[in-house]
Amino acid sequence: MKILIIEDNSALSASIKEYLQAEHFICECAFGVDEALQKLSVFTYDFILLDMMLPDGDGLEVLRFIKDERISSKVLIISARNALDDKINGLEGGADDYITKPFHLPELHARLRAMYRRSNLNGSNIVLANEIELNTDTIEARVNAQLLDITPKEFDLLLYFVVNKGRVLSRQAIATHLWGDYTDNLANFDFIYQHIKNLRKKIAAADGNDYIETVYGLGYRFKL
Amino acid sequence: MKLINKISIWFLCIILVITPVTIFISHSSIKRKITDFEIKRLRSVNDHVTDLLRNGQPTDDFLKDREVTIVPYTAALPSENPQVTKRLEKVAGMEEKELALFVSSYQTINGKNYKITTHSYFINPNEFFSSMFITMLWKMLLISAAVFISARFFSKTLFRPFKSTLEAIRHFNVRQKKKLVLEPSSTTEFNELNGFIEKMTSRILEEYATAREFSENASHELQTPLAVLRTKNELLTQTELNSQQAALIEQMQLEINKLSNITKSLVLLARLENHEFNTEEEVQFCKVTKNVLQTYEYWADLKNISVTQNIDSKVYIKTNPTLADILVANLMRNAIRYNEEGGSIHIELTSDYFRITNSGQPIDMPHKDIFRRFKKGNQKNEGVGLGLAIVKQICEVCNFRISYAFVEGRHIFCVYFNDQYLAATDVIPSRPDAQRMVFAGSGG
Repeated sequence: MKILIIEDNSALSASIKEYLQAEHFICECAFGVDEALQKLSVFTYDFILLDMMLPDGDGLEVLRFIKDERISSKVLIISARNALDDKINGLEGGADDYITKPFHLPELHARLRAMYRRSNLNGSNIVLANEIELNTDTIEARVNAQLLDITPKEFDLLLYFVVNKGRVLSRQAIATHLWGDYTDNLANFDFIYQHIKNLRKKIAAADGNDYIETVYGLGYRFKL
Repeated sequence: MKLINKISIWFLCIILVITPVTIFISHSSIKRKITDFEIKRLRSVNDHVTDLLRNGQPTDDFLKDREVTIVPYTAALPSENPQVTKRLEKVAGMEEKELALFVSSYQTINGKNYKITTHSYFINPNEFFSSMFITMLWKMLLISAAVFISARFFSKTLFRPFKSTLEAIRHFNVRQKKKLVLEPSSTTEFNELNGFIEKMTSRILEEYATAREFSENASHELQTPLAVLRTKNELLTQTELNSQQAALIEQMQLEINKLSNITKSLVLLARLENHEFNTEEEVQFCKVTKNVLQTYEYWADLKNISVTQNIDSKVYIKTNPTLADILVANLMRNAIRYNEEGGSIHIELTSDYFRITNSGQPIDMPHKDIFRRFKKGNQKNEGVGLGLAIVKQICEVCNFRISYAFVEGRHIFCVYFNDQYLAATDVIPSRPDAQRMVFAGSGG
């Protein structure tokens, strides 16, 4: 999958590139509107990551170009302004999703994967990890073809792990993924532990393997 | 009082003072004019008689229709020559008196002194005064009526530019970033006013844009480095680390989180202060409250906190949906954080107020400081200390009032949606909590 990262901060751009390349994305970077438009008029991409504030213009210009040129790439907006109008403008301008700085890399990756699943309708709503099968349409999880009785939040958590398999997920990253802004100022992460405990129990009850390992001091990792 | 009425009354006062004065002036000048003219005429008669006598011509013809008396005069000629005497005389058969005017000329004719006296009767000038007075009353009445009626009509056209300016100001909203354009008027004062208002509003827009730009830039400038820090940190966690390094990284991640929350909160506060939120929407507050409660159920459960609620249905409040959500979420978060293991939270919502109470230890600072920024009830707590400051600011923007009290081991926060209700509860002195309530923004 090919992605164009339009972000003027080269350090952030490099971080995103490093993380996504390890997830087998082909990454290209643009650092301004002009450069982005040039690349977009020559190459095709599956995804476009778009920072709304660029040194030589506004991200909305790029969105307009994408719309006018009928470019079919999925667009994920990155905004630091975290203002509602930015979100609304972006989504109305043709963007597919929206993420605010400072984001977590696993979150960014999960959003891209979700966008991809939404765009490809031919059976791609099934996410597989060995004996675990997740249907993102019906929000059903099966282990060894046996339906798990899990809450939507637990399903979300399991999907987040599977999509970012092999990666260390910090407790903050998990909390932000599950509760978004509601975790602000509630720096008590015991509830993550509770959630994971419940999830492990339910998977074990269906004779599934325990793939979720605790990484001391850092968080958790889904290791196949 | 309307400006046009003020002007009309002022105008009438002037008329009331000036008209009698002018009447008096014109009356006395007419009176003088008539008398002077008559004296002049009688004098000329005297002169003519004198000429006739001097030339020895017969005077009978001339004197036939005139009342002239010619008497020899022996005494020395008086210094006042001719002599004028005025006398009011009663005329038989008439009620009014007539003015009799006598003009006596002393002349020396052929060596002999004569006193030639001519007299005439005419209407006493004071007699016109009454008719002039009546004219004056009519005049004042007509002018007053004309002023009041025409003021009613003309004020509409005269003040139309002013009214349209008022209307434009009323609809001016700094958030719409639209320049105020006022229609030009033929009145200099209104044009001056319009020019002044246009200049002022465009300056307000500029200032607002600067403030907004600052909050935008601040958030952008801070969030991007934070994003770099967080992502680099996350990349670091993907590498092989020993437990010591992992502990260091975790510490860093926690601080990055805190920093991110602080900047987000400060930007929100700045945006609230800039009034960047539209608070005119009818928000279904009960729905917002229920959603927030559902979200925090899990947190409450973790601390074994029992949550009870008494939420009226169909509570619509004029506010902003995002702000309503943040308001309830912050208070709920607060109620969970400053609660104790196995404690309780009770939430009440009516169309007049939203009240949240929770069990917990009393706070160790003056109650009025509770809504101040970076003030925390318990300094070792993980919170940033901006939650209640944001709550207070939201209440200010939405015209709500918020109070805090600690009664019988429970923290009580109450958001009042309308002032009338609050005024009604204020007068109940028997309520113990009312006496210990502190309000955000009053005295603190």
